[in-house]
Amino acid sequence: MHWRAFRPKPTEQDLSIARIEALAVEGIWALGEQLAADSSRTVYGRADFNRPHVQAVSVAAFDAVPAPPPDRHAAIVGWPDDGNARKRACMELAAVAARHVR
Amino acid sequence: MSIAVAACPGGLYSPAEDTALSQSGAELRRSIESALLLPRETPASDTMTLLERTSAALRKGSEAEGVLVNVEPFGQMFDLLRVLPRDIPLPQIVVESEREIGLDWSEGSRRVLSLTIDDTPFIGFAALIGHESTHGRALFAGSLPKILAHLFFRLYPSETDAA
Repeated sequence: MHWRAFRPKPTEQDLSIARIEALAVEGIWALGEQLAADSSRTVYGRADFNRPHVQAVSVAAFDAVPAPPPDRHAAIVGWPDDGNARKRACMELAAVAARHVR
Repeated sequence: MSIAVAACPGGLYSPAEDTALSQSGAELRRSIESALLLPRETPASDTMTLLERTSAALRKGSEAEGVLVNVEPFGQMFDLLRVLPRDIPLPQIVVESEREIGLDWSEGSRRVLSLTIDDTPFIGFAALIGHESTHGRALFAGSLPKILAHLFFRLYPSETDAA
């Protein structure tokens, strides 16, 4: 998955993600489609990572935190203001994420 | 989880069909025309590929994001591409905002480089090569900044000379 898929819009301060612990594979896809349907988008794939992966990115205060509602909604927070630093963070996270195609 | 969006189909640029009459359009056309006069030997196929990618990026930026990019970053982009080492492949072009263009090179998940071109004399960069990442800005005064030359050398070690 391209690192740009991890990049929030320049005006946004967090990136929406979903918590998938304890979900079976079909449940993960169903969760993704539910979240995508809210914004009229289509799920083509997903990238799985753990919270330590996020915390290991070379950006201070970078973290993944619960952000309900809805249930299982979370967010990556701590994005730097500098666009180039944001890209760097996206590249690091994309490199450790496990990719799955729908 | 992440949501991926299918890429837009490639676009074509035809000077004969370019009917832009605005000042911005005329300036963009001059930038494209001057880019076709690259001092380095540039295969015609590469030039067409560059124009197609630029067109596709403009279209995607407009249709998907509602962004109409200003003309100044395009001039800066063409000036930069002129001074790249000859064997560096053409980048993917992304319209990032009204005043920013992204140029992406990707040779694997741990061999990526992205440059940000805007309406200032500086070029932003972010890269992940192996387990080393970096980001910053470099002044572009007509020749390739040393830090960017070094990053291209790291990304394409068999095709470039060290800075």
